[in-house]
Amino acid sequence: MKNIKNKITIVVVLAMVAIFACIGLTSCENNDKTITIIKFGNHPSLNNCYDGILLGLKEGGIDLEEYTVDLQDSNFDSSVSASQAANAVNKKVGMVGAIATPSAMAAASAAKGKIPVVYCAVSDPVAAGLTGEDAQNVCGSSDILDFEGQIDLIKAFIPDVDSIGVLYCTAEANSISQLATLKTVAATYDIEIKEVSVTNANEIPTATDTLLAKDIDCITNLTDNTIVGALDVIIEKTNAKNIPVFGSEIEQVKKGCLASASLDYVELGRATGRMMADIILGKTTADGNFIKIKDSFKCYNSVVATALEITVPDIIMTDVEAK
Amino acid sequence: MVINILLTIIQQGLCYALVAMGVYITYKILDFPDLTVDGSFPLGAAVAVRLIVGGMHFIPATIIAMFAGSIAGLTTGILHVKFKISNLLAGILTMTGLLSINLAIAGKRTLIPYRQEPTMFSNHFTDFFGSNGVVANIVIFVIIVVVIKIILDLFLKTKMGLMLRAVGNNEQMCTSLGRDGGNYKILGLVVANSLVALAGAIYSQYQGYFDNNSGVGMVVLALASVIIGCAMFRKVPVIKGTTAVIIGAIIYTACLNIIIALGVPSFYLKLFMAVLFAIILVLNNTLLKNGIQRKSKNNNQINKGGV
Repeated sequence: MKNIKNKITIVVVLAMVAIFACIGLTSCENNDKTITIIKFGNHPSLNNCYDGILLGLKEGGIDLEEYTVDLQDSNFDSSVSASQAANAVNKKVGMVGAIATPSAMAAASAAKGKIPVVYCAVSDPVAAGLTGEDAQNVCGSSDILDFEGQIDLIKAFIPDVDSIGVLYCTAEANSISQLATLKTVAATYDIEIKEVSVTNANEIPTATDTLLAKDIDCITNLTDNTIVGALDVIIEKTNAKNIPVFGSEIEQVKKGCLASASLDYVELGRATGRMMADIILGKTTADGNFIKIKDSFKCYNSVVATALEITVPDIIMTDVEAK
Repeated sequence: MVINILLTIIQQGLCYALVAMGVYITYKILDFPDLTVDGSFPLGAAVAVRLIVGGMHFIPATIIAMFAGSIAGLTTGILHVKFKISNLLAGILTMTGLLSINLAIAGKRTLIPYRQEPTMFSNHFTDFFGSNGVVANIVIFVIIVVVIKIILDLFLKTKMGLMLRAVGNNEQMCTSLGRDGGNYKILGLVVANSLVALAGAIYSQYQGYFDNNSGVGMVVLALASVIIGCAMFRKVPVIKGTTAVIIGAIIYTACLNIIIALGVPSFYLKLFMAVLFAIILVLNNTLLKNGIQRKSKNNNQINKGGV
């Protein structure tokens, strides 16, 4: 009697699993015209990439009525990315798009060359193994920061700048490598980089005070999510000392940074979208190469400039406060 | 397509089963909620990726990764047993420290791909199964999981294993036998975390890259697998705990993959998973209700009969 009940339990649970599986599968018979886009998380830059990709697909001649774009958000969880990628490959979708490095690596690893994978906003595709022989049927776009452009912009605002402060979080590996690059670039301009690191967001107020005490002319941001997430705290302290903060993305300028020369993620997404369209329409194939956006996008915040009493230089820039 | 999803579930599930077996030792046998797992999983991956990309053969690299995990377990064990830090906190301390250590081992990079290096899932043996990879992956996963399971079962039957189980059930009895229960706790943590690190090393080779964040949520995943597995087979004495948690891990992975395949918006992913688990556990408990009552009656009789 007991055994029968146990058997029933097992059968019921297994049957439930099977039922769920079937529901999931009936809805997806022919998915050639589905483009799955795996976005690593909900983040302004990544969202801009996605918007750009949709624009680029349309410009490239893809009718979004005919093709389905299936957006998958991984909530910054790479195991979810991996499952979403495996699911897209199992469904035999026409193409997988991936925004940010973890999604891109998950997609390329799941597709194994069977389905074209186009990535967007991968800082270092070579190190991520997404180029050449390492990856078959993969291509995309890179979002390497333009530090020369950023320092040129800082010099335009503060001509006699000789030391720039940087806050970064030691837990973010990208920040460590970006800081190294920034230091090399700054050295060619004879500018000193003074950095203060934090291990988590709680240390940011103290770290900002420490940095401000180091006699810096301004602060520039990396794409460090921990620091950017606590931007309000930093700006409150820097404004009190009349020290401008330069952002690494337009969204930060909207939040109170003075200016930034950065990548326009919508443009990057757009270029990626056009690439995807060309591959879908058979004009090109995913050949293991990647593109970069050459010109950085310069923007400034006129309200912040007025508050800090800084003259806005005469170069082409977008004012984020302009309506 | 159905087949493909099932195959994905089996591969991922078997890999998580290794983690679940580790957590089974700490959580179920030792009654020790071990949070080291979130750190020792990527630790195994980091060690494996550095050694393999550095030119080492994947078998010794994976074994060294396992060894690294055992050191992590040893640290938690010593912190808890020798320095009397509470079990949760000891795990948290090791896990927090491991976040930096993993980054240092991985050369400050959060993601490292295996390029053309032969790994456990791409070598001469797997080439034998054709270029598809799925069959070979499953064969390898099944071999590893079955071997580990058998070794673990045999280990739990040795004197040492019995003492380990005794410590979890009744530490005082252990002391009364003249044994130091603390040492067995440390042993359990060492074994558990070496299994978790092994899983991390294997998972990174299966994925094709190391990801420093792959450990996030591993404790929850493993606990869910252990609890689902043990709850399902609570009343089936033939099925060993290790088998139960392997099935639990596969069910957990199945839930995750089915929910994604159903096209549930990913914002609700975790909620749907929680609901699905709740349904499984509730169904299971309701169906078994009568059986449990009978069991407790039996227990009472045994207790009466005992001293």
